[in-house]
Amino acid sequence: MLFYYIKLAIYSLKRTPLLSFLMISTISIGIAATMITYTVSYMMNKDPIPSKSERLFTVHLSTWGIDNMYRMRDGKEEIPVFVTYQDAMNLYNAQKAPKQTIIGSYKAMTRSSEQPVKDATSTYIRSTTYEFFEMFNTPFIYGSGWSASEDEEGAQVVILSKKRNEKLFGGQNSIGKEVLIGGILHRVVGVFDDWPLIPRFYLEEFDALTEVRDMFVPFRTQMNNEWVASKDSSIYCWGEFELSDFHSVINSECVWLYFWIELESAEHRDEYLDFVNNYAQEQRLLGRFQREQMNRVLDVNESINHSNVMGDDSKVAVWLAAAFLFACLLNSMSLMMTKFHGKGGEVGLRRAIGASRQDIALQFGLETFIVGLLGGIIGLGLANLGLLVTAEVYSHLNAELMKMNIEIVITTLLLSIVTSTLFGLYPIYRACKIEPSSQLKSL
Amino acid sequence: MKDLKPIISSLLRAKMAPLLLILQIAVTFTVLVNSVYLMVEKHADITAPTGLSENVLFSFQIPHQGEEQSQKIANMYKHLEAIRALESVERVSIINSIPLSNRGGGFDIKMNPDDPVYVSKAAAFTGSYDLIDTMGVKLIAGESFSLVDEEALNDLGLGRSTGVIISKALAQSLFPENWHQALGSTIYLNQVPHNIRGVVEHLAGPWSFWQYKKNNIILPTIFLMTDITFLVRSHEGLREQTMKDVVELLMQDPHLHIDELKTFTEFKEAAYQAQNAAYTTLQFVIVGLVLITMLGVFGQTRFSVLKRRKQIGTRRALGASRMEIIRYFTIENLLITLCGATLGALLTILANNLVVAHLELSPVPWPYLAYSSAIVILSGLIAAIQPAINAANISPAEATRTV
Amino acid sequence: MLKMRGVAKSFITDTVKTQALHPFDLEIQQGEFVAVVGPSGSGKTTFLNIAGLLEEHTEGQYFLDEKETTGLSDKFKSSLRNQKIGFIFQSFNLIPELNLFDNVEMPLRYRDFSAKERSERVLNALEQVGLAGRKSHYPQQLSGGQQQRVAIARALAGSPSFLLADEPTGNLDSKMAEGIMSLLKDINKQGTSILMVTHDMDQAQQASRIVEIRDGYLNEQKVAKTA
Repeated sequence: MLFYYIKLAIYSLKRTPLLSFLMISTISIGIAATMITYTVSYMMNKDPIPSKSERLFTVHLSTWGIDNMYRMRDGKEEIPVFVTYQDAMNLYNAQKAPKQTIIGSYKAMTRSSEQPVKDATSTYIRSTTYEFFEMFNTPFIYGSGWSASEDEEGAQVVILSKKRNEKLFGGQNSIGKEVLIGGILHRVVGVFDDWPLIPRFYLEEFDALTEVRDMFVPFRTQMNNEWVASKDSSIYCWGEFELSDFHSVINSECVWLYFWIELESAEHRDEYLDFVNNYAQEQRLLGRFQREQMNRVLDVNESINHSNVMGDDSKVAVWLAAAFLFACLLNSMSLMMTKFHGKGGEVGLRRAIGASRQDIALQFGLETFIVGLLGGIIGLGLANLGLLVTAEVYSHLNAELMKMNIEIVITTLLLSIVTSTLFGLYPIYRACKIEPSSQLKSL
Repeated sequence: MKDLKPIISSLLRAKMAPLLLILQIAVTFTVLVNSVYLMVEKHADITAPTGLSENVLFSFQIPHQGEEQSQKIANMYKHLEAIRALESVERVSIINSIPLSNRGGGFDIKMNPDDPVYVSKAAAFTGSYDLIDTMGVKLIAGESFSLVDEEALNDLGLGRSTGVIISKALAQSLFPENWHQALGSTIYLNQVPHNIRGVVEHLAGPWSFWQYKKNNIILPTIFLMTDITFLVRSHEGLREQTMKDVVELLMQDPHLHIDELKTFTEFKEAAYQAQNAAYTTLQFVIVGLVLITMLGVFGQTRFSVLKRRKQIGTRRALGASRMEIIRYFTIENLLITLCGATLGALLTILANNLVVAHLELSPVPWPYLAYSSAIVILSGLIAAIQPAINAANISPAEATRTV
Repeated sequence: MLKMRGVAKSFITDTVKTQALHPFDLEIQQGEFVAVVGPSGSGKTTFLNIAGLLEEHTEGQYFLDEKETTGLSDKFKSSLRNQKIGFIFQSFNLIPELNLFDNVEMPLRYRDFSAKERSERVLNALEQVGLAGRKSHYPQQLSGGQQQRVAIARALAGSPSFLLADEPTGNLDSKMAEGIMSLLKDINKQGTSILMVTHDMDQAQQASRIVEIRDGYLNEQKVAKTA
């Protein structure tokens, strides 16, 4: 019987090609629009590091002066997401968490030792400590992070992205090869694979959706070379400071470094916060930290929400897309009413020769199911096409944002089938109500 | 409008089908209003005047040369003079950061050093005394800097008494009633007083996404950082040639490395990439919305014609002319779209209140409701044409047909 | 009042010419009650459509109230139908979404009557068919016979030169049919001409003249006039 109904449904769709086409295309356009925006927002919102997001924390400190507020946000005082050099070093050296890392940044001309001087390119470099790679699950192809001792002495070592390794060394295992950074030789100790971390939660909002940097060096090395970060990353200052002077910057209240910790479990957070507050209290006695203390320790998801990575625009976009899908479904519902209206005669006849209401409902239900399924499949195709175009248009964002995973593919098909069947209920109900007698006269 | 009453009564009796379309149009309308508003907003963002002579400017960085500070400064001026001497160069200045380059520095602005909270924030552009002329920014009040104001220092030179030039937007945020009062007033940057010496009309800040992007300050201090940034103004239409000339000139020194050689247009494009992308997307969205509305109206009108073949035949038999049938369906349609637009407007106002309450977005201004109504009604009318003509072509003999 | 000279209708399909109606002459005077009879497929409906200006004849001339109708524009013919002819259909053709008042008023809306005059005419016409009390009811709330009465009221409201009835009792049971026939006869007695297509010989006998159509040929039948 089921096969018979499927056959009937397909015949019926074929018999009114224009209507079927309109129904399927409206549904697929609505589904595509919704799924494009949903994919982007899903990829932005999904937990970037599910295995650890509860245990990784960033530390924000109230270091601003008594007469200076860092900034206002939503009518409330806000504290910076960065810390000063002194605080970063103090917190790091205290080693209160099982793992902690400092994340900095600078820019320099780089080339491989085999390249001529003129081929040097200006490169944004990430400086950090050796714990970083384990804390954030960096996927290595060759080698690994640098060692604790290399870290401590500020060794001239570098880790390359797969992309940069391809550019400098043709993609081969380049461990032990040399790269010139700002004219100083650095030895390659590791090459990491494609690293689609979305959002790149350890950075502030404007950087969180960009590609990973191509070179990582020890933070200590950067400090030893006195490369100050004033021009290539965010730096916020108050009080006495001279941005062009390295020593002035590191002794000032300028904030420019991220500080992240990894704890054994989420329960240890309060303990760490107590340590931070105690530290702030000590510093207060030394004349710093004079404002009301709002120090905080945020986990990965709290940090993402705090920096509002997703942005209000994209939240609105998902809602608008959902509303658009709703409009498309209403449209397809009217089309179904048209279609079933045209079949009043057939229903009357079928009812007259013994089909029950359930039989009619099943027959039309299957038809809407097929419409939904086809709409979903075509919508999926359109959505992927749309995502390709989106990736082109939004080329400044990480391309990983515009890729569907299997969960989204299944969601798309289900959404299409469920919604179109749901919106088909009323037209089907109407069709079932047709009395066997009413239509026969006019046949 | 003599058809109006029967149209309304038949719509009221038919209920479901027109109701669906009204609902569809209402929802589409809500999406449309928001999309049109967002699009216009993005467009305003993209096309907002930067105040600079966008088509003749480019910039680049070179590192300082020399050990001693005095040597560095001497070399810097030597480069500056050499570039200025090029025939294709109209002007050249040293600047700390390029507008819309995403790099720059800003200050809290206070009117009184003891205020606990800032009045506003502003970014600072600092460099050669003739920076304003090189950028092409228009001075609308007060006076420009002169050569004596210029000094090369290791900081922004906030302690100097040269005064500052500010953008009109900043003047307006300091003196909302009358920005002219800003001229001659004192503002505090890092607790240091500065006299406002001039006001420029427009000047884009370093960050396109910054809330205070129109608030900018200009200072005549050449801030000695690790690199020197040159802003070059070419003669009209000669930018490419000038860029080549400058590179050629500097390349005579093999140790010199030119970095970040970019036209101002490139900076602007990169800065507004997100807005441009959103703008393009919204255009597609609006076309999609119009299409789906037209599809809905087209389907509904066709359905209602199909359902009423006999009725239309009867009307024709009883003396309705073709035009009267077309008019009937046009009015019916207009009524549905109007209801949809009205309901949509209500929905929009409701959604607006929600949006304003839960997200930091501004509500959609009233005129956009009117624009969107016009779009919806017009697309509805166009979509109804074909089915209405179809209806008019139904033969009056349809009335006597028994099947 | 109605004069047809050599009127004929033919279709050309795929180079085959089909003669639906062979040339005929017919004249109907003011106050006559003419029945057109014939089996299905004989050309009755075609004749009715031509007489009602719903279809164009292909040969001959058709005068309505001394006015030549051949080749008139659609707009002109629409207004002729509206003013001169009152239609009564087999399946009533009432508009289900409109109440009785609005249904009867419908053809008047295609004329330049004032709202007051329209209302008077509608109420008069409904009065004439005995349904004035139910003017705000909807067609589905009425029996078939009552629906046909509404249709007759609609036909009468515009004071046409003649009524064109197409199997007016075809969808009704015999009792209701009788009622409709007597109503039509009453109307005829008051001076309105009626041209009625029917396949019921008993009903045809009640007319003053009978015209028979068979295989596309139209013939006048002389009948004994009933009193």
